[in-house]
Amino acid sequence: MSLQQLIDGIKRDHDLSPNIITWRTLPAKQADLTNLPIDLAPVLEKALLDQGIHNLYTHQFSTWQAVKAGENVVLSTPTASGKSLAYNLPILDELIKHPSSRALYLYPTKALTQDQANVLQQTARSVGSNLIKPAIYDGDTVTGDRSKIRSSANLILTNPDMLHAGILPHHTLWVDFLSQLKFIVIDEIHIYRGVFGSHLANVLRRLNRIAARYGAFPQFIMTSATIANPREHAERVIGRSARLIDEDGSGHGERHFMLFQPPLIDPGLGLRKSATPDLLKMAEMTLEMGVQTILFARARRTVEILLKQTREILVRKEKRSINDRSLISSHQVMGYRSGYLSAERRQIEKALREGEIRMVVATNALELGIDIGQLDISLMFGYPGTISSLRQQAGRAGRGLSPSLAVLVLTSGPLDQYLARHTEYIFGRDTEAALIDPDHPLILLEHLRCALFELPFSHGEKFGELDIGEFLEFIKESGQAYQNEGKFYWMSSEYPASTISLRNASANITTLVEFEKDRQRVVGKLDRESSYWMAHPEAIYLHGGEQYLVKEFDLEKGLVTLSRSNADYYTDPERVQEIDLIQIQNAQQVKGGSKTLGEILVRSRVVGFTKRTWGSGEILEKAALEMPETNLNTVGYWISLSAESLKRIEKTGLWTNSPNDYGKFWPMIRDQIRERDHFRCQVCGAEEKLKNHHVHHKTPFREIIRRGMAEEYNRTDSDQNLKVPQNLIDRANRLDNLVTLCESCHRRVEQNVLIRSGLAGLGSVLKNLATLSLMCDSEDLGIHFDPQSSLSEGSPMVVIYDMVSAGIGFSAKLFNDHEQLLLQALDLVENCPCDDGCPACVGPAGENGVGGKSEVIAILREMV
Amino acid sequence: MPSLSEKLRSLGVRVGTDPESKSTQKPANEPVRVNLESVFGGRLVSTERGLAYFVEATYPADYIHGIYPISTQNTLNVISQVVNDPRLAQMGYEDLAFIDTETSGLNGGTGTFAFMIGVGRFIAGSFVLRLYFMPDPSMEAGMLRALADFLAPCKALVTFNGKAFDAPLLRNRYLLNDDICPFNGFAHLDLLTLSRRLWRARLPSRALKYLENEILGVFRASEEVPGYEIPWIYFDYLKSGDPEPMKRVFYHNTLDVVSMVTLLNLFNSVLEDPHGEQLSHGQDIIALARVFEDLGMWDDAARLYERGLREQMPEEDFHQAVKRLAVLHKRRGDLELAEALWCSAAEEGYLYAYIELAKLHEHRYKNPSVALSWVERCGTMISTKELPDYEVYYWRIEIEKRRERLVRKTKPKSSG
Repeated sequence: MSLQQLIDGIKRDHDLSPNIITWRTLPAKQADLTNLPIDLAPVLEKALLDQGIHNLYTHQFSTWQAVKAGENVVLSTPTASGKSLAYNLPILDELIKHPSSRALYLYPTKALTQDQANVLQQTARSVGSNLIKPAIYDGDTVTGDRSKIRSSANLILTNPDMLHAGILPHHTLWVDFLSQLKFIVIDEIHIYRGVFGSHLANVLRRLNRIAARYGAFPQFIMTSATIANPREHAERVIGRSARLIDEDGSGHGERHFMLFQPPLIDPGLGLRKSATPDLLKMAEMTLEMGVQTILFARARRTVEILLKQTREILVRKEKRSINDRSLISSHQVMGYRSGYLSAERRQIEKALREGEIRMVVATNALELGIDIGQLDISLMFGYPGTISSLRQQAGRAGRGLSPSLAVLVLTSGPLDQYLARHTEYIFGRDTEAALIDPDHPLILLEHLRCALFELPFSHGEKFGELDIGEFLEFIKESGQAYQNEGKFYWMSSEYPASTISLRNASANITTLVEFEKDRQRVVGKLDRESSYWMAHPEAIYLHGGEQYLVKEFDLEKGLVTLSRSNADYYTDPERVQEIDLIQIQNAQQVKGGSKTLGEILVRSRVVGFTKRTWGSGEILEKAALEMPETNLNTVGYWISLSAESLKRIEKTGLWTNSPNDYGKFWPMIRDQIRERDHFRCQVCGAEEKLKNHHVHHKTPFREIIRRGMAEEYNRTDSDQNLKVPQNLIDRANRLDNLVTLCESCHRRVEQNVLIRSGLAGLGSVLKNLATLSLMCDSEDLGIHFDPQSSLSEGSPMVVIYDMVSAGIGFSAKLFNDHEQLLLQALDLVENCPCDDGCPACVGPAGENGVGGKSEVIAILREMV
Repeated sequence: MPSLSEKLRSLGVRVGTDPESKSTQKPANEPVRVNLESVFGGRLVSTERGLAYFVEATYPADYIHGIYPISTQNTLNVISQVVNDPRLAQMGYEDLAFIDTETSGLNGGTGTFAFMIGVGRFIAGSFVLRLYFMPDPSMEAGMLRALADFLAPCKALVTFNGKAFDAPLLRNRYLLNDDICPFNGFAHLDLLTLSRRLWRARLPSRALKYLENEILGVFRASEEVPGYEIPWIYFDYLKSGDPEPMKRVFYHNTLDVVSMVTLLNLFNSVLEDPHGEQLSHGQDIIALARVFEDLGMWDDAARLYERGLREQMPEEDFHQAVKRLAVLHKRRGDLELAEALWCSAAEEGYLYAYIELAKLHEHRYKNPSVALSWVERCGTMISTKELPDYEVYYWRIEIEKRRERLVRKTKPKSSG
């Protein structure tokens, strides 16, 4: 069955085809080839010819030339364009010609390391004569093998974590290797952004320092996905200049890229049909047609849910036609995400390469260059958060010169919908930039401790290009360094590298276990902060398609005990947070108010959770929890409204617009409530005089109707004429949702609700747009809003902050990009076709909010 | 603008930013260590890599440390076989360097260094001990060079856990100071390994201090300092410049080195003269027997087993030794002695002895019917004992596979 037939199938399908809003076909491209370099070592040339490689792509050849010329190189070409061969070739050539030379390869994950080691070992065998001796040296390497690897391997593959904690602090064992170190390869350098990238930059400063001690000045060769600033990013990571090679000489087959937009079922409310049924239908078609598929989902939980549902489809089919051998069994569909144990993952990867597994449902854990072979189709459920991820995920499809298909199934999330209208982000030039801060004070301090442990610092010695005198003084003052005759010495019995994790702000891990007949089995691991909300007591936790109930959370040991569960609900944690100002770094007046950059303390806690039914999401139960508070001292960017702007927004009288129809019984209900409340305002106590008091909906009427309609129509998937059913009106008019207020109190309360929803909406628009330019995940940024914030002396404000201790530069960049950010926000909200806010623009408001679209527009107009 | 220190503190950096730890900080670049000599004696010497400071003490040949003299007439012959290093057999005590370091930590890695190196060797019959001490980290190169000069005549290191710790650490330090490690190519006697072989069964700990109390008759004075405090005493000394508290570390290091000497002497004398009276505890003698058994010196081993078995010891150890001795007899070809040991063990109800006797009669004496009778008696024995199920299961298999074969063998051939 060919891909063409599948495409035809989608085209003919009445459910699917009308919803494909964009269909780009990238014509097949012939490769731009050059001959193999003439000065290539003959044994290597022969090995290449044996593997059927007779030519190089032009970018591979350019890499060869640049490396031979002694330059640092960053290679930024698409997925599957032969980047590994590009950097391997000049390095292997050098190792063959100069047997004393050494090379160090860094990969972000152990999985990728394994993968590349296999490839290199094959080449090494093919070259023969024991000229190329690659070996992995990481946390899994058996102690007994280590010294042999150090002394005999001329190409070592490892990861930054091992370099940091296992190699550099013991550099005397590596003298022979380091003194001959000619090349350092950093694969997938775009992965190293934010905290991880800032750590890596410092690990490399340490490596360069020690290599220099042994007389080596290695050359760096890096690869990157296609991002806006590969060269700048690479140069910041290595602290040296680098040459960018980005003309892609590889060829490919015809590529189809579709955007699938679930239909609107209520344009006014911006409600779209759930994408899941259509997604499952596509998945089912691909399985039937026998094409191998990867289905990407954004969240670990979504992976598990889709896996479960896909398998159910297959099981139903199996039952219907027991004897049909051609049927794909449910075991040929597997999940893949972080939290799975590594042996489990290796097995899945292998089965994918061998074609045994027909479909894998994965998170971005499978996005990195892990070799699972090329597949035919990439189905992406939702925009993965960065354009480069999207391209990498799409790039999983495409074998050689045969055609391939990538489908992005849009969710109703704001970025998905923004991309639907601005496809230039997907198909145009790269706009997102990787951001790191190698001089982040906490990260720098940690690595200076390590560096000092590794070698004393001389007076005036720099770290990379950085003056670090003040830091060394600080380390000395805190009793970990000793200074004499200008030289600083490490003076502590601690081994500093062991306390620093490169991946995480927190080194704390929570282990998830279950008991099988008295024996404890590790199900998975989570970082401590995530575990508080993902695996709190009584949470439903999903792993490997299995559903578990959290029985016990031992906070002291960091141990969560799970038991298998077939509950028909899931749990939704409820988090509260408060923000304290530490210090303002920069504050400026801007149109309509002010923008501020400053240090803040974010205190958050999981206070409870809600049980909701699978499917409709109906609330079954709410429960309270006591979990520890987590504190984050970070940097935030906040905007606040000036008093004049606030007054102008109030004057527009937004809240009196479009009066609601409260139903035919309203006058009766209203009078009953006034009587119940003894005709007194329940806020100020004022008695009713000439004018009747107002009756106020605590949870706004519009909000209850909107949510009720959403539940209703999500379930029935029809777009019939929308009449608000009486039962919804009754729900909104429940007596306990109503309260008597005097006119002025009512105005204040309503105003508060409106400002709240305006701020909530603004916060969610800004946060989402920010991730587009910052190339960060949604989890890297936090938002908070407050109509009367202490951060802004009581005026309404929205703050976006870095979810990293001390900040990593996200907020600082947003502070600088303030105007552009607000312009984009206004463009997004104003051009959204919905009436009063939808998930695609200002987002769903909180439990007590309303749509808030007009409020957001009002605020933005004041400020743009 | 807040200072860096304030900023870091506000970000939650905790380590020692409190004002108290600052007060003990001495002002930078204070002139180096004025009164070391007045406190410890000792002297500064210049080397080609800078100054070095050491304290020297000489112990005459008749010096008694604990209950043992510091000098000995023994050779290194047997011990060279025990540690399987023939180079030692060619050496005398004057070729040995006894070394122990005091370090800034126990974690290893290039940030851990030795600030004191105690090293002793025999010169003209006396034991000369030097404690090289680094009054300032900037003097490391000088200290290492001075140590190298002192080690120049030596051919072997004697340490306690030095193979894992002191030697690699010092090797690192030489490397980091661009100097040549003086003991490359030396033989290395690690007394911890030997201590484990002799006292694993009897003593709950093989730490040097414990061996001093239990074996060497050495009891440290109140000046002694626990090992984990040592780095901090040195760091405090660097900060305050006050050498007084370092006295305890000097004392500690001195004893560490001197005790190694008498410990080696004890090893040598029991190895050279295994049937002497140095060891009295049954378990120690049995452990020594095993050392000789491993060396293939079976006659000495058998004598030691027999001697050890006459002493008091826990019952389980006793029977383990009997079992080993019987096997040893069998290996030496002394079947009767082995048989006698097994018979008495069988009388006491040890099941293995029945099986050994069955094996002896079946394979050596070629007498299947006697062998069969031992197997049958073993079967009866099991039923009289209260054994855990798995053990019964194990013995049943041992019995059944023999019984089947022996029954076949005992049948007259003509009937087959």
